[in-house]
Amino acid sequence: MEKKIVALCGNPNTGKSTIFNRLTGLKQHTGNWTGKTVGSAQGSFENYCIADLPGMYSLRPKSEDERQAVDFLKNNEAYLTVIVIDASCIERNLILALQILDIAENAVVCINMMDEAKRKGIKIDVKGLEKRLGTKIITMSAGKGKGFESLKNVIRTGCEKRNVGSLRETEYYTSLASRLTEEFVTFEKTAADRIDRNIDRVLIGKYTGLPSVVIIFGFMLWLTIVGANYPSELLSIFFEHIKALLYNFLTAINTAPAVKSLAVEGVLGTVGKIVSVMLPPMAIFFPLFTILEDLGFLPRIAFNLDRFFKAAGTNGKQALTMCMGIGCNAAGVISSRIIENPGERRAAILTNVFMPCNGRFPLIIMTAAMFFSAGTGSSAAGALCVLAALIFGTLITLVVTRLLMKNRQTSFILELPPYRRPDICGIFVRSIFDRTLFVLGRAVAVAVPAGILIWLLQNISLGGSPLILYVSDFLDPVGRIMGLDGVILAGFILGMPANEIVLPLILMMYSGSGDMSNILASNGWTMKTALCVVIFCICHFPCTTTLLTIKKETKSLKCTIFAFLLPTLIGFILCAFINVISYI
Amino acid sequence: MAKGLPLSCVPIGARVIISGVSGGLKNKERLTELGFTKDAEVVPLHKSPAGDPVAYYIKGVVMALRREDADNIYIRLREEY
Repeated sequence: MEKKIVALCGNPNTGKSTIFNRLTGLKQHTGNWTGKTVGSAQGSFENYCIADLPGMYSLRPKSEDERQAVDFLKNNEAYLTVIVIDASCIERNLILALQILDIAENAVVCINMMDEAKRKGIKIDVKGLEKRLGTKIITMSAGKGKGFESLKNVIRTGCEKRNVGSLRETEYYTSLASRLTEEFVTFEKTAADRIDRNIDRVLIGKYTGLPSVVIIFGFMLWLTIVGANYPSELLSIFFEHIKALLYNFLTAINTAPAVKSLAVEGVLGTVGKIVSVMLPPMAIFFPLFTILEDLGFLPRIAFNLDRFFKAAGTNGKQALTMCMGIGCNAAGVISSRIIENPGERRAAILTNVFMPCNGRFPLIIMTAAMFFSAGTGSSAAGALCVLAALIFGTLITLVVTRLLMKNRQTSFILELPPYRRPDICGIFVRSIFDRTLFVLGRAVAVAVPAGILIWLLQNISLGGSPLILYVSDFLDPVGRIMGLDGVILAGFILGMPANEIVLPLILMMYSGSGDMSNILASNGWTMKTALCVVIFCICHFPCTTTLLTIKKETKSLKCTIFAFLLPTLIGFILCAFINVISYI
Repeated sequence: MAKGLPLSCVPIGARVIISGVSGGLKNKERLTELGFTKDAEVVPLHKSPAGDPVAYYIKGVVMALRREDADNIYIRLREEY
């Protein structure tokens, strides 16, 4: 028998996902509904399938993520529809709730964040409202885990079917919502709101707004680099030990030298490099970023930067998708659904790759630390370099977006949610297990075949020289024009399935030994090379995952090919330009 | 009937009442659904670093609007009723 579907819906920022995670025990996975993809998380609770629909403001959808949620509700597929309402702004939430109650047969209302409302001096006559709406109302404080028993009971028993009709005029709902609020809700002034206003006075203030974005990101990057240094070293020592152990073991069982070298240097060497370079920064950056997300800071960034995006012919929500892109470009591309206008959405998708995802951070940090901070290698210098890379990426994004957008009629309406204390425990579980391990797994899965391929290229000789020389010699002319060399280009191309492996691949292909800066310097790296590598790292073709996501989101092969060519061409031109300048 | 002042010219911190929303149907509908309805109280809270957009307090929520949208919302002063 198929599982009965329970849908969670409501305005954005009402705590649907918190309810979802607590109800399903964080067992998130995304999936398909009858024939079409729904951008919702699904999980199970007892014998029920819980669907966490994207937040929406009305049943007349304006953007792609809203449309999917609305279609789902209109089809009346759910066994139970739970309308989640934020108690602290009940009137605005009721506008949507009333619309859903008019079309969904099996709907109950769940007033969430009762604790926050209490803090803000809001009192709700639940019994009276329940009677008037003619449906069951559950009250919860999901963040504190309160009210789940009654929600579970309602899910188990279901609710009575109500008579439903069709959607009425928007005015009808807004005036009904305000009448209901007047009748059943009382407000008292408290200090809670003032705290939010004071924080906002700094974070989105006239003079402090932009610096605070830069400082917060800089601090986050610095924490990531400082925190990652030591574990990275430990991991690389650990992998050296493992390599020695494997080598001894293979010697003991008399393995052929070629196989031994393939297994130790080719496979384990690449995997070890990737894990030790990548895992620590990711394990620090992802949770930090999720904390910013949960606090409610990201919409403030969009607010601060909107004016610049307006000048580029689009709107500040693109800054949100770019922030997601710092985590992972594929996620950034998906998050572009929040942009209503199709043209602006397309521009956001095409330019997302200019935000270096954190798979590219290590390459930028290493190169920058080695060459620009001239041996000091301090974490602060590294953080500044990545920050500069992010700002550079933002500028490129703005310029390219401006060129892509022909129609410059834009609009920007965005809710700035109240600051909320993040659920630290949930964050660690989500960011470590869902994001870090997933991305790491992908990188390792790619690293094994890539490591084998490179080992083969290095060890199979044709006419006296190893194959790798033919590859790098072939790419060398193009690389030289860009101030790079054939090996670096080969690294970027082989690293296409996962950008994380670019630097380890380059290091493996170069001959020479010692620490990283020695290897690079002995292979002819200069300041110019480093600068061009960083620029090409920001401006080059998206990784395979991102390209596939772009194909899925735009449903256009032309767009995907364009997404491949556009940044590559820009990277080529910029690098060639720097190269030419350096000779003058 | 005079439409009154647009919301975009209200100084930060002043409490005013919405007297009407104009503009294209789709735009008007969106603003209405977000809580910018007739007779609702609205307070401009913060200007962004570039002066536009502005964050408004409306029905318990903080919403950011650009000048173009705030131009379509007309207000009257609280004392008027």
